[in-house]
Amino acid sequence: MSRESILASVRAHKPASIDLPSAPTFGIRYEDISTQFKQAVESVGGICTEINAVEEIKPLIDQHYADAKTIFHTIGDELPIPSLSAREFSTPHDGDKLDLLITRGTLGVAENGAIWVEEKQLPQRSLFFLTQHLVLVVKASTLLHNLHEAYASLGLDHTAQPWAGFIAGPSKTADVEQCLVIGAHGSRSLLVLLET
Amino acid sequence: MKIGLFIPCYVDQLYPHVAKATLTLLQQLNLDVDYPLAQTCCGQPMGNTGCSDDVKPVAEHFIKTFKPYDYIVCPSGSCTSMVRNHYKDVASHCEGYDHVSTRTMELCEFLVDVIQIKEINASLPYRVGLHQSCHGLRELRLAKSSERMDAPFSKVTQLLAMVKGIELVELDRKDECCGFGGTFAIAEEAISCQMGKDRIADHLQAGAQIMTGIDMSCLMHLNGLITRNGDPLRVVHIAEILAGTIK
Amino acid sequence: MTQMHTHHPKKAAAFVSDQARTTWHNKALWFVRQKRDKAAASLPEWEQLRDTAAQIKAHSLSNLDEYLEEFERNAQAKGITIHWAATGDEHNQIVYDILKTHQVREVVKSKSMLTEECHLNPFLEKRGITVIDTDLGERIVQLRNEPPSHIVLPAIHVKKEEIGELFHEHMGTKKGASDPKYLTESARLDLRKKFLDAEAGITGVNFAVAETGSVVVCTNEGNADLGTVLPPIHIACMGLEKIIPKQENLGVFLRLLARSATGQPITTYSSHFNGPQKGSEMHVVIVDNGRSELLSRKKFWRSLSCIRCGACMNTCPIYRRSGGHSYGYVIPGPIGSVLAPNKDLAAHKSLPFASTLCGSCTDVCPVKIDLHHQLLAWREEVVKAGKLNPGKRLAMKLTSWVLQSPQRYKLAGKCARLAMKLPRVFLYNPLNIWGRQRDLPPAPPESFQEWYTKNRDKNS
Repeated sequence: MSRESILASVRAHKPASIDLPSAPTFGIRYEDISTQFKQAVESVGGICTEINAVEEIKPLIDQHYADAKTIFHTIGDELPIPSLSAREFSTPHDGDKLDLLITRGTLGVAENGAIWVEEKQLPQRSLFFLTQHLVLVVKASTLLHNLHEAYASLGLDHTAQPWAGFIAGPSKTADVEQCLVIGAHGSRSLLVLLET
Repeated sequence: MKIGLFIPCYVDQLYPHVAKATLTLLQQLNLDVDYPLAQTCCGQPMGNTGCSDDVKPVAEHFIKTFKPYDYIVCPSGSCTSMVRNHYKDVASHCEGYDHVSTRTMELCEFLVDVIQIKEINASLPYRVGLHQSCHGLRELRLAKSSERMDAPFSKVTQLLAMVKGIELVELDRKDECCGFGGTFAIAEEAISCQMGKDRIADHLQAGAQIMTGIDMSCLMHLNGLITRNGDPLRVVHIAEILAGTIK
Repeated sequence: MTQMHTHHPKKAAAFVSDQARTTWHNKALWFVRQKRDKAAASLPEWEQLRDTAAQIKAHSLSNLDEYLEEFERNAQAKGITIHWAATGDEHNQIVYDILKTHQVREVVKSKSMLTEECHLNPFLEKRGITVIDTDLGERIVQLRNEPPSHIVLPAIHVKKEEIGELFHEHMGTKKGASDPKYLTESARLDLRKKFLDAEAGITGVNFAVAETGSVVVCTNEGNADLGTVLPPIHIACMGLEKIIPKQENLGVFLRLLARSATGQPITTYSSHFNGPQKGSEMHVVIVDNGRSELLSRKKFWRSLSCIRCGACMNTCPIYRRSGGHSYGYVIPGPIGSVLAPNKDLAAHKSLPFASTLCGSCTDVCPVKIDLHHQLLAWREEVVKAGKLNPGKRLAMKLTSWVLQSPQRYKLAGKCARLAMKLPRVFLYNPLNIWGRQRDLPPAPPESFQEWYTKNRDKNS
C-alpha cells in the first residue's frame, strides 16, 4: 500500500497554506423565481408546468404520457394513477421495465433548473435512471435562487444514504457532431410539475 | 515630462514609417520626445523561446538605456508587455528596474491613461477592422477580453472613435489570435498561416477595407498572407491612423 | 494507442492540410465556446466565482494531506473502501484485483480521464476483462480504437457519417444512416443491455468532499449512474487533487463546471455517492502518479486546480485547428501542454511551443490557472534541460549577442534589409519557412534609426 508514501510526499511538497475563502454571498437572485425556474428547466431540455393541486397531475400525465403502461409513483393515494407496488422493485434491475416514474423533488434551483432527489424516496434509486420518462413534482415554496442557497439548505443529513443528487432535465448527449439529442442513457423526457 | 520613444527592432528595421508616425503623433501633442540611439530590442524573441539567460543582458541594456525617461512609450503591446511583465525574472536586480518596468507603456494606453487625450485631429473615411493583438489585450488589458465577464472597455477603440469618418466594423470573432506568436510563426507554420487566413477572412466578411492593430508583428504576418493572396485589404498600424500620416 | 509522445507541428500540419475538416472542427468548438460565453454572461458574479474557485482549489492543494486523510476517514465511516496508488500501474493493479476477486468479466466505465492517463483499458483487456466505455463519445472512440481527442467531447473530431459507418459495423445500424438521433438511440439500446449485464462499474470523480467522504460525479447521459446502480461493485478512480474541503464548495464548482464546459447551467445528473448500496461494494482509488511532486513546482502546482471542463481547448485557436490527437497526450490543448511535460519533458517538449501565448485559455479557465504563463515557464524548463533544438538555441544566443550592442544591432539590421532585397527566386527558397505562404515586407531604404540620426536636429 502506498498510502503512507503518498501522504508523505504531499506533505513534503505542498505549498504554504492559503486561506479558504468564506462562503459566497454573491449568488444571483431573481425577481420572479418561479418564472426563472421554469425557463431554466426548459433550457436544460425539460418541460415545466405549474399546478395548483395534486388533482391536476393526472390529466397532465394522460396528456403527456398516454402510452405509458408501467408506472410507479410516490405521490400517494391523492394521485389516482395506478402505481406498481414497491415490492416489484426488489433489485435495481427491476427498474428496467418502467415507462414512467412520478416522484417529488426536495427542492428546485432557479438558476439552472436542477431538482434535488434522494435514494430513500424510492424502492431502488435505479428507477431515476432506468425509467423511460420522469416526472418530478416540486413545491414552488422550495425554490431557491442558486446552488449556494441550495447546498446551505440541504445540509449534510442526506449523506447518511448511499446516493442523492441533482437532476436537471432529461438525459442528453451531443457527442454526435455537437447535435443535441434528448434521451441518452437515462430518461427520455422530464416533466416538472411546479406546485404553487 | 520626458518621453523615451521605444521602437521595437523589427519596426525600426522594416516599418520606419510606423515609428515616424508614432513620433509625429507624440510631437503633435507637444510632448518632449527623445529617441535614445543606444536602444536595440526588448529581448522578446529569446524570452518567448524560453531562453531567459539570453534575455538578461538585453534587458539590462534596455533598462540602462531607458531609465532617464519619465515614460517610455512604445507602438507595440507585445514588446511593452515583455518589459513590464517579464523583466522581473531576469532583470529585477538592475538599478532602474522598478522605474522602467512600471513606466513603459504601449502607445494607446499612454494616450488614454496618462495624456487623457480627448480629441484626435485625424480622419479616415473607411470601414476599418481592428485586430486585437493578444498581448496588448490580455497582458496589458487594453480592453476587456471576450472571455471575461466584467464591464466592457477598450482603450484602443476609444481612440479610434475620435478619428473622423471612421467606421469600425464588427468582427465575428472579435479577439481571436492571428497566429503570429513570434517563433510560432515558423515552428508551427501551418497552423500559424491557417489562423492568419481565418483572421483575414473575418475582416473581409465584415466588409473592412482597412485592417489596423497596435502590433506591427501581427500585422506583418497578416499582411504577408494578404499580399501573397492579393486580398483587398490594406493593413496599417494604429499610429498611422492617429497621426494622420496614411497616404 | 498508448504510445504517448509527439512532435506537435508535424501532426498539426497534417490535420490542417484538410482545410474543410479543419474549418468544420474549428467551428464546432467555437460554437461550444460561444455557448460558454452566453452561460457565463448570465451570471453577474462570474468573475467572483472564478476568483473564489481558484482560491478554494489553492487552499485545498496547500492543505492536501489533511484533506485526504479527512476524506478517507469519512468515506470509510460510510462503508467505502479506500485504496491508494502511487502510480498508474498500481492503480490498474488495484482495480484489477478488485475485479478478479469478484470474477468480473465485463465492466462498464463512465468517463474518466484518470483511467485514460493510467491506460486502464488495455491493462484490463490484456487480463481478459472486457471494458465498455459508456459515454457515447467515449464509446465512439473506443470502437474506433483511438484515444479521446477532447476531455469533454471525446469524439469531437469524428463526423457523423463516420459514426454511422462505425455503428453499422459494430451495432448493425442501417448502412449509410448518419442521423444523430438515430445513432444515439441505437447506442442507447445497445448499451442498456450492457448496463443490465455489467458485473462492475467504474467511474471517474469530479469532486471528492473531505467533510463528508462523498464523491460527486457529473454526467449528462446518466451513464455513470446506470453503471454504478446496476452492478454490485462501484469503483471510483480519482487523482488526489480532486479533493475539496466542504460540501458547500460544490455550489461554487458546479456553477462553473458545466457552464465552462458546454454552456449548460449544470449537467443533467450531479450525483453524490455517499457509500455503497445495500449488498454492494464501493471503492475509491486515490491516485498520485506524479501529482504530489508537481505540488512542489512553484510555477506549475496550480495546474492541479484543473476541474477538467475543457474550456481551454474550446477556446484555443491552435487546438481548434490541430485537433486533440496532435498533442499526443491523454489531455490535449493548453492544460494538457502544461501537464504533459511534467510527466516526460523530452517526449512532450514540443507542446509548450504549440501556443502563441495569446492567453485566451487563462481568461476562460474557471479556476484561473495561468495557463499561458505556465506554457512559457515550461519553455524555460525545456531550455534549461538542454532539450531545445541546438540550432534554435544557437540562434537565440547569437541574437542576444547582437542585441546587447547598438553597433552590432545596426549592422545586423542593415544586412538583413540587404538580404531582403534579393530577387524573389533567391529570397523565397525552401529554407524560408516564413515565405511559404507569406510575403516578406518590402525592405525600406533606411531604418528609423538611420532616418532619425539624419533628422535629429529637426526633431529635437
